Amino acid sequence: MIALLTAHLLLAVGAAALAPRLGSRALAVGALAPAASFGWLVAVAPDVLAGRPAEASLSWAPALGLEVPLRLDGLSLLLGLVVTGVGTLVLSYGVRYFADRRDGMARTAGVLVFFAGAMLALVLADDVLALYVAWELTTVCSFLLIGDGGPDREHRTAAVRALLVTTGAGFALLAGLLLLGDAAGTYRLSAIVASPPTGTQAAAAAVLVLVGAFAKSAQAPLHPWLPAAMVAPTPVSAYLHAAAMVKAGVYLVARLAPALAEVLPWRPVVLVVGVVTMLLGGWRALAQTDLKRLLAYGTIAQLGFLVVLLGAGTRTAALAGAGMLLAHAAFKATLFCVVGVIDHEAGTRDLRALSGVGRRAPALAAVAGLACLSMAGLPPTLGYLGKEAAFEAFLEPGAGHGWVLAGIVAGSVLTVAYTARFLWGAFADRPGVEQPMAHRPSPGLVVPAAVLAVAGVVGGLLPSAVDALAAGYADGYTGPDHHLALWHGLGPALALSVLTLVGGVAVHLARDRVDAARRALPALPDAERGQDRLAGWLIAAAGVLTRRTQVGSLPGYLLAVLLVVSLGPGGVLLVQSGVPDRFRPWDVPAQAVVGAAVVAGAAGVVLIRRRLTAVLVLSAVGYLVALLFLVHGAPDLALTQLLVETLTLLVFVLVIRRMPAEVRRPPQPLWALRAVAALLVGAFATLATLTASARHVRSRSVEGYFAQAPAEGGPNVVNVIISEFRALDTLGEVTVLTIAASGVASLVLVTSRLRGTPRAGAPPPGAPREAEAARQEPEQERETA
Amino acid sequence: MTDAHRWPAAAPGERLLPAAEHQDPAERSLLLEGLARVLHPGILVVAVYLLVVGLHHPGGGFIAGLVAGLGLVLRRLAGGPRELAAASPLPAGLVLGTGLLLVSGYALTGVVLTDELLAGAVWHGEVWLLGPVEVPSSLVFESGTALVVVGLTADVLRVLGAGEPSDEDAEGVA
Repeated sequence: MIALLTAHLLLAVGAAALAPRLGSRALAVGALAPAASFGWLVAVAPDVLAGRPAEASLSWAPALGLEVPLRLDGLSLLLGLVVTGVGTLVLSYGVRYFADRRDGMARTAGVLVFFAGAMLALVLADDVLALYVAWELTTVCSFLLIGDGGPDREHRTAAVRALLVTTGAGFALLAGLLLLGDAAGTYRLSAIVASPPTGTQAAAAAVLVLVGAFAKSAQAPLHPWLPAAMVAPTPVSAYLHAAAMVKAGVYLVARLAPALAEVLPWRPVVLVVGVVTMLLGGWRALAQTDLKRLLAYGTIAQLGFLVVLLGAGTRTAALAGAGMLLAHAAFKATLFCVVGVIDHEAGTRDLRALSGVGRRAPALAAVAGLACLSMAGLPPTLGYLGKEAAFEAFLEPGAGHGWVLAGIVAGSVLTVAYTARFLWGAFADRPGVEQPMAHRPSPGLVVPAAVLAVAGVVGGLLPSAVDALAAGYADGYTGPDHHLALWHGLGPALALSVLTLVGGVAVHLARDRVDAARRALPALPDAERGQDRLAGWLIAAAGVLTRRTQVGSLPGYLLAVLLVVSLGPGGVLLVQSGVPDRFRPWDVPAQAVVGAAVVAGAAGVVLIRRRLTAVLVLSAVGYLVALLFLVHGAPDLALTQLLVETLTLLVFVLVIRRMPAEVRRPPQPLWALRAVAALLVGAFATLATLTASARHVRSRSVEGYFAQAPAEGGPNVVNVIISEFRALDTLGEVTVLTIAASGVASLVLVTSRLRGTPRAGAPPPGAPREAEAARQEPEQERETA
Repeated sequence: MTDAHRWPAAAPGERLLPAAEHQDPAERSLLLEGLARVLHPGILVVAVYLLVVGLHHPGGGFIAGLVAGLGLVLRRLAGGPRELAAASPLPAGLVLGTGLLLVSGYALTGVVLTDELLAGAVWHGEVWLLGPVEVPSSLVFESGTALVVVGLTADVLRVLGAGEPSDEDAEGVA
């Protein structure tokens, strides 16, 4: 599993690197990763379905118990097959779709493949935090892909909206996951599901997790980002916003439903939100004239349906949900690809402008027809298996099952209606409309869609295989032993299927009257505008907050930092350990003398107005502290302190030359505030030092070093610690030092150049210093220009 | 950085410090220049000494780097920015990078050779005139640290010392 995830990462980089040379064919290279993963999943599927989940673990910091456990069980297998299977086909579809694209191919290819890996990691993660990381990675990928480099306002708005909604809710999810892990006593998903937590904390966790899941899978009222995201290229929409990413929310609901379905708010929330989303999405889909947006609202409706089924927490519902999930991935990805082909070849997706596409591209129409059979829930397709089982699930007795059944039947009527609208809109002849499609679509575009469409039918014809796959998840529940099958005999479920079909066709035929009715109805509250306004406020508030807190005053920042440090940790210190009661004034009298001199020097620094003198006195304090080290018998520390002090002093002098000679006193209130802050910091530092030195026990972490030091290198324990035992720390420090050095250099050079030379316009020709400096610091040049 | 003026023609027989004469004559101090001339080689020797004895006595990479850095400061104070450039002919970034490379390379070599991050070994031997000599592999690590500190000092001096008239000359065409 780890190898497969690594392969995704490597091939993402590889695809991005090859894109400039291969163009869209780099996607085919990238497709190898999901394809290999799909193959592996198929190979291990029998084992997993027999109840032996595959496990692997990536050790991160074993000493701290930090690891990334991966686990492939029935549900992960189901989602994994969808993610990798659809991923492979969509990426190969993209080869043809992006064929004439020049700009941004590297980004699109890299991010798409990386996204496939993140999604796979998401469904395999067995740790809530690992899951959360993968979750946010998919969000970031989605942002990058929707934005598509930000060519125009529409792309940018859509990308920002998707990011704000999904990451905003992602915070709720993180909080929920942490609460959940805390309540369960473990952060392992499998362990949480095995022994679910109960009580108020679990209830709060359930609600928070659901908020995150609902935002990701576009449940009402958080759905508007999804139709807006349709500005993304079609392969992106098909993969992220139909088949894979939006299912992350559904996956989370399905993953946690066995643990949380019995926790109080879970079931009512899931059922109400799911049914409302299904009805709203279906109703809105009927109003669309853009085929892609029609499918987007259809996706919202289907996601509501899936949330109802997978969140309900009964075996039959879970079985239906698993079947429906497979069906939806297959038919929705197909239909997106079909719309992409039409858009690509006809130049429009508006069903009012399309005519005769069915006659011009019969193969495409056949592919779409197969997918639509599944979407409308007609036999013999996957969609039919799922829908029959769904009706069956809510025909079983249960709290609230009556109205949920009514809701999903109504939703299914709408599904049939918008399926019909899609077929009619895309392929029908419209008298008076010019035929927009000049030539037949290339097979490279149709074949991947056809594979998915045929998969939906083959799945329907092999119900036992699909049943086994779905049962791999559903068997986590106890309940009536229902199976997915094409024929259950005459019964209420079949009657409901017939009812939905007839109703849906009737709604489509009466579409003019439905449109009139829609116009007569008062408009539904527009969640899209609300979300935009919210996003606007959020960005404005962030701006205000930034302006208020980042005022650009160094003393101001310092004051804030010092106050927080002395009040926060200082308060904790005071409360937890209090003032140490026994302390020695000094070990040897020399310490008292040096200490008194240090105090006098510190007072001098505060009182002296001349900057240079103050700095010199400050250094004197430093030298005195070095002397204190020496008195204590630490020549190493003393030497270091001495050298650092000297270097600091000289650097100080270099800087201070440019400042006014005398320190200007700040105005009275500020002065008082600074005095208070100084006293607080001083008190905190004193308390911390006293507490630390009041421990007269040898530090356990260091004790062992004294014994080992001679064997490891030499008798100088301090240096052996620095270069042997804690060399990793030193490595980190040295790295920080390097970064700080280049940072300081860049900042000083930038500001001095900004101050020194007028930046407006190009430097005068033949200005040697300009040219020289520009050659030396190209980065600063770019920043200031 | 790699321009010719970074290597002013140094002719020790003629001048105390290679680039000090670019300074404003009113600001020059012969005493300081002489002191820098005499002390700087010694400072470098001390720095190397401190680097080598680190495992037995006070010293080590960090301290060695600080001492060498102070040598640079002395040259900068005595001879101005140009003198600093003459005293540190390699760009500060290169020194910093080499140091970091040594440190992390040492760490990684340990991983590859012994499967343990930062594993060390000590080489004992007999050297003519010096007697028994002990060379720990962590000397590479210490040298890297020293280089980083020297590079940092040189960088900060170069940057913070910029902006005065004599420095403007130094930045110009040689």
